[in-house]
Amino acid sequence: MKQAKIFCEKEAPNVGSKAQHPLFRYPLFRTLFDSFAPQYVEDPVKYSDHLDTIQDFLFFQKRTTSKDLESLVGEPLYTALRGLQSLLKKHNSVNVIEMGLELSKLQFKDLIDTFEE
Amino acid sequence: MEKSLPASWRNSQAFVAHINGRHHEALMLYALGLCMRFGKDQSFASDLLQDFYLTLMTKSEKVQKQYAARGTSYLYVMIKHGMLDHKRKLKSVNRLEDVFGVQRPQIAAIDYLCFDIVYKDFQEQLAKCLNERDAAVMSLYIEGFSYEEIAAELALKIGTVGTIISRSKKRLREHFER
Repeated sequence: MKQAKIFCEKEAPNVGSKAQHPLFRYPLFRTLFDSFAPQYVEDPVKYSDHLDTIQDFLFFQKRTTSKDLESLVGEPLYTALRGLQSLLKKHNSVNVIEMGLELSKLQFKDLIDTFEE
Repeated sequence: MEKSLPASWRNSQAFVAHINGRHHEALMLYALGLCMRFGKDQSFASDLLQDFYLTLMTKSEKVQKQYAARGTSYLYVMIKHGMLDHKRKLKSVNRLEDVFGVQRPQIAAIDYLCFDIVYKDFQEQLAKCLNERDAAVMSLYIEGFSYEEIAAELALKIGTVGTIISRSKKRLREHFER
């Protein structure tokens, strides 16, 4: 199976000394963790083993099973990571996924703007 | 303890726009993951999100309070319930077809628009040919509830629920085939 490569794309710059984990090169992970597990953004060093496991699940799949990940990060984040994993298999690029999600956000924003009070 | 609501959410639209701006990516990925876990096509994630935003808009006051008190976890639960409601409705349609048999309009299999009409008709038929307890059991059964849920809701044993459903299906089939 073709694997997405986390290190081969042009990366967004790191945004602070705490955001040294490779996952934080992508704004998407900051957004995702901000919603599901803000502690990963606030203290990435403390949760580096969690972040490593997530990285392995998404990009390498050498050690991490779905069951391991779900018990480690909880059902909501695990489910979102399953969704992200399916997109990675399809697009093989986090940047492309970020653009697709941004487009989706704008489309729904347009829909929301049509709602009446 | 419930936190006070930001003044910027003075109307429903502002609140929904806030959720869209801050959490859309995470919620979309969650909806996609749910589709994977429930064996649905990925395109269904957009339908789930659309229903979610509509609910935010129509029940804004309640959702704002829950969001302020429980944070984003309340939003995930809303989306998950949307998926479960959809699965239950599919089960409901299948059960209705099973019991209603030949009298069920064929278009109902592909179009939810007429489902409510068929369902209302079915409820009326239940009252005509079943006693009150059996009709209550069958009503929940047709809504897609499991035997365990029906037993808990009506304070019956699971075995009793199974017996009532089996007996009622036979009686209803005879009724509809007349």
